[in-house]
Amino acid sequence: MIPIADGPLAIALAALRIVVLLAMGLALVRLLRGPTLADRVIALDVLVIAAVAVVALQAWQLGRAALLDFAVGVAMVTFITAVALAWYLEQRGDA
Amino acid sequence: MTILGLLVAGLGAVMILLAAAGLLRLPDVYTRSHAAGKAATLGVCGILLGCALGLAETGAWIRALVSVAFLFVTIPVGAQLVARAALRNGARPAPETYVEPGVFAQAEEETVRRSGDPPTPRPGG
Repeated sequence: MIPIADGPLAIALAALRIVVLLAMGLALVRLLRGPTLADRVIALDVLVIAAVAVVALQAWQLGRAALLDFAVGVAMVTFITAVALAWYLEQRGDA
Repeated sequence: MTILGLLVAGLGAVMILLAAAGLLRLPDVYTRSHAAGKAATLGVCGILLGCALGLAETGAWIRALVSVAFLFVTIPVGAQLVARAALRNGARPAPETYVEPGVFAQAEEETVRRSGDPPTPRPGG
């Protein structure tokens, strides 16, 4: 596959990236504001998921399937992160 | 193939935006983890499948399907674990939530059994 430099497809991919980045901004607000630590953990999870989505769109635009390796790796790491943070929340004993 | 991929990826992007909006707008930690666990899963899976459709390579399909299978199992489990930790720590749901009688008594009893001292009531959050 060759990279998509311009044309309607490049514009559409840029629009999709902007939508996902907007979602990342909203999740960032919750990460900074979130009253409890559990809210922040959930917001961090959504941020990481949105980052995977952005990298996948970039892989499409650059025509490089190898960039999707990032998605595979992060999919495995983010679960361990969620389990570890949930364990920490329970041990800390504070909402 | 490209058009179909764009359609699926667009659906996924909208789902991620909805998940983030729910994360920001919903009133308590349980509803927020609900939004993050379901809508975000669908969104990222849609975008990954859309990219595989658009790239149309064997390598892209394998990577996208592996990560979709993994994310589909792990994101809801992670959200549920965090919500359970919040419940055991006594996070209160929004006041308009209907709660089965005894659910919070059970959670607080468990907290007492683990820590040895009674939990202090916390303001809703």
